[in-house]
Amino acid sequence: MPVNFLQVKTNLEQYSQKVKRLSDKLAMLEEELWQSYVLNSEKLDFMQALVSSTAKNSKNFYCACPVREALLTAIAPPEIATNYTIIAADGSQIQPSRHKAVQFCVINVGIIKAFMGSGQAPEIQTFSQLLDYEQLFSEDGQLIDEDAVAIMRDFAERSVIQQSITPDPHPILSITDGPLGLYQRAAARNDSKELQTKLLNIYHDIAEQGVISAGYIDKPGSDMIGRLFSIMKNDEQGQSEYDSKKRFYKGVSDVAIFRRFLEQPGARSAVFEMINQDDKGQKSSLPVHFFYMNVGQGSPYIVRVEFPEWVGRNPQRVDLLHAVIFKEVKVLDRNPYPYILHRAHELAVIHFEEYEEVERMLLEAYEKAEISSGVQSNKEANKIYSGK
Amino acid sequence: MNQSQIIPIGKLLRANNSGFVAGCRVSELDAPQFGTLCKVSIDKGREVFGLIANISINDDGLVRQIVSGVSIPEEYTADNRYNRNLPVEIQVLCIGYQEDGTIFHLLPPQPPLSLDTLYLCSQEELVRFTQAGHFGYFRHILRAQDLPIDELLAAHLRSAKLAHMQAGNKAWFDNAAQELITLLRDDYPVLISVLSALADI
Repeated sequence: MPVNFLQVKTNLEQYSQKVKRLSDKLAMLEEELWQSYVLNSEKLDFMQALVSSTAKNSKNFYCACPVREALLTAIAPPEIATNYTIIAADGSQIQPSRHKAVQFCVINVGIIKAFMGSGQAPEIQTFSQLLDYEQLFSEDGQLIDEDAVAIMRDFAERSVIQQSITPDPHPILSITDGPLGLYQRAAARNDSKELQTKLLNIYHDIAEQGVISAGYIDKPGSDMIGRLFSIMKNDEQGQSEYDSKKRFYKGVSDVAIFRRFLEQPGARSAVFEMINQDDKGQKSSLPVHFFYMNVGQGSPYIVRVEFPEWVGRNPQRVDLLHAVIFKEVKVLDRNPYPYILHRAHELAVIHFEEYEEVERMLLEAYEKAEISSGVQSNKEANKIYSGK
Repeated sequence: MNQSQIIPIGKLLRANNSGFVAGCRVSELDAPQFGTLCKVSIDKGREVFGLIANISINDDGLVRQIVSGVSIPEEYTADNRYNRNLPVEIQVLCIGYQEDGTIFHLLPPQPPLSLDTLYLCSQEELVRFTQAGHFGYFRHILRAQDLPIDELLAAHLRSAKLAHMQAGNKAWFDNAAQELITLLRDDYPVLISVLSALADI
């Protein structure tokens, strides 16, 4: 049935007015945050001490903390080394569905390795994994959900990167789409402890080989800066306990702050540490640093680049990462996004025809093995008739 | 068959009795040339012959984005040329077929099928096809729509002339030109255009 546009339309004015009210309120908060940001831009020691003391007494604690550069730092992209190797991996998946005749899960990872300065075409490869049947079910016997598959997919991306690293006289960088610390998501799931351990091992192994890992977050929605300044506000107001749910600058995104002063294309912000504690007060096993960066050519378009702490502590490595990311986004400058990440996505994406082909192959294999496949659910079948 | 060069083709995109379109990778683009005689095997004992009448390199969304980019590293230019399945299309005009060793300058009874491999014909095959009959395949070229038939004839006759000269048949080209004059005697503009192109051979 089509959308009842008349019903939607009647609510539009009220909807817009509410949004306007909230936007106006947010704009005021944003302005106040910005004023505080400017005022306190040099007080790094104070912020670090405050964050540290607040974290000790808090659970589910999440905010940014400056590392060594003043908050209003805006650094232009440096000159880049001519020769380096960059590896990008991206994954996609076929989610198991109980509505289908057969339940199966495929994880597809595309990887591209470019030897910049060589003039050669990059190496590309695609890895496809059909999960074992037992892996399709959680401990309580249910089909695994999207989050579980996404974690496996993200793990597969990092694993493929690890396997692709070979001795190289030039610096090596690896980049994936999304936050670096996916294990945080994994940590929230009791069924993924083994995966978490494996993932940390991968990162440590990559780090030992000197590879600069990075996560690229396009259109970030975080408010880590707002959280930092909410803690400061808390302190100003003499409040002993910090409740993030009642934080003062809730809703003000980091992007709103950084686009105010990262005006030059390619400019990056100061490096921040991501402070992340779970509900047990445990800090993340993979400390992450990040900077924000303007990749836009006209009006600022802010993205976040995350990397391990050991990279963040080394200014030369940060410079290299900064320069490489800027070079990548300039290739697709109409809609700035790292070219190599886009290619990895292209290699990984599973088209519907491929989905159907895998399903057909499975049904054929079932028949040969004399396994009776299930039937498609009527709900699924009727979707076809309705032109889903 | 062993003397032919093989052009790996991704997919035969579409085909009918009078022609077909195949795709190839950019890295194999050196092999197919405009006007070259090529062939496709339909089944055992039957092959369709055609002339490469057009080679087109189409763009796609990513290429269009890159073109407008501020800077394009040469590694990524190479990536698009050699790694991505850019649709390089080879349009082939059917001009005859071979069945159980006999060459016919007629349209094939069946078009090639998907994933059939396109072969470049050897010099010997070129000589054999072009000296069979009496230039009957010229009519397929002359009635082709939306093709530069003068350029196509010139390219084909140039390579055929060379092959025949090497095979010791020096009269072949003169005979071919005479046949074209006869076929086009009632179409003066096309005749002049063709003769003008042949003059450059």
